[in-house]
Amino acid sequence: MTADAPEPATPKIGLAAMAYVATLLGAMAVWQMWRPSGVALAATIAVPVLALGWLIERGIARKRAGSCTTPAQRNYFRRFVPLMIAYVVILLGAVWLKRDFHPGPAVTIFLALLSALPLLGVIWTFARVLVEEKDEYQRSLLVRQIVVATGFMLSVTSVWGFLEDFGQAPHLPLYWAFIIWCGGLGVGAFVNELKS
Amino acid sequence: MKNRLKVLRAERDWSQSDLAERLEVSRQSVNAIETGKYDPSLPLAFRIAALFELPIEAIFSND
Repeated sequence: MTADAPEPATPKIGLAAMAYVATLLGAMAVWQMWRPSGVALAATIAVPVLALGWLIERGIARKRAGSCTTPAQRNYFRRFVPLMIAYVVILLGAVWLKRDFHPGPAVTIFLALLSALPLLGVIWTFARVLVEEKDEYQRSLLVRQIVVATGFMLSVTSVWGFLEDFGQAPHLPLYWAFIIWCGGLGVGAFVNELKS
Repeated sequence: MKNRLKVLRAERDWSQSDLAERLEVSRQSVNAIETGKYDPSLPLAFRIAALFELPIEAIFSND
């Protein structure tokens, strides 16, 4: 390829990530407020699933393009995927053990801590990718994505906290902060694509 | 900050990927610097200057 040849464009993922976050949060709000059933319930499930499908398709397109992953990002995915699989397996196991065997307080505390452990691992993978990323521009994008996600999480939890305090929203368990932060990463990806 | 990266690259008939490989950065980084969306750090600016065998101020200007 010469200097004048057009460079291949990196497939965009931000809009799909935003769509997934927005449709998932929207569906959760609908479930909470109106408790839909039948066709309405199916529709509220289908929309975020379709958005997730779009997000996965964009992710695959990006991976095929092969131009947007650095060694640090590949390390991140190599750590992230097993941790999320461990999270799902441990969480399902812990819920099953608690529900069917009614363990004592010590075992219950152990199960709760064990369920949180993979998520702490995910936070560690974010710290590692920031340390390991040698490409300063990619690192700056990642930092902006994390800052946007943190702002998103703090905004949502602050607003939700007051709504909850004033009796207008159901109680949200604290571990939702991490889930909302992960949604904020999608918003961060979108902001990055707007600015680059 | 403006820069002459695209011109210098074209003079050598390098693609963005060629330059990225020589600088050991991603192609997106080269593109972001060329289009003025990202100002490189001083160490990277020195690497760019060394690669083109020019002083930094012959590549980057503050206007």
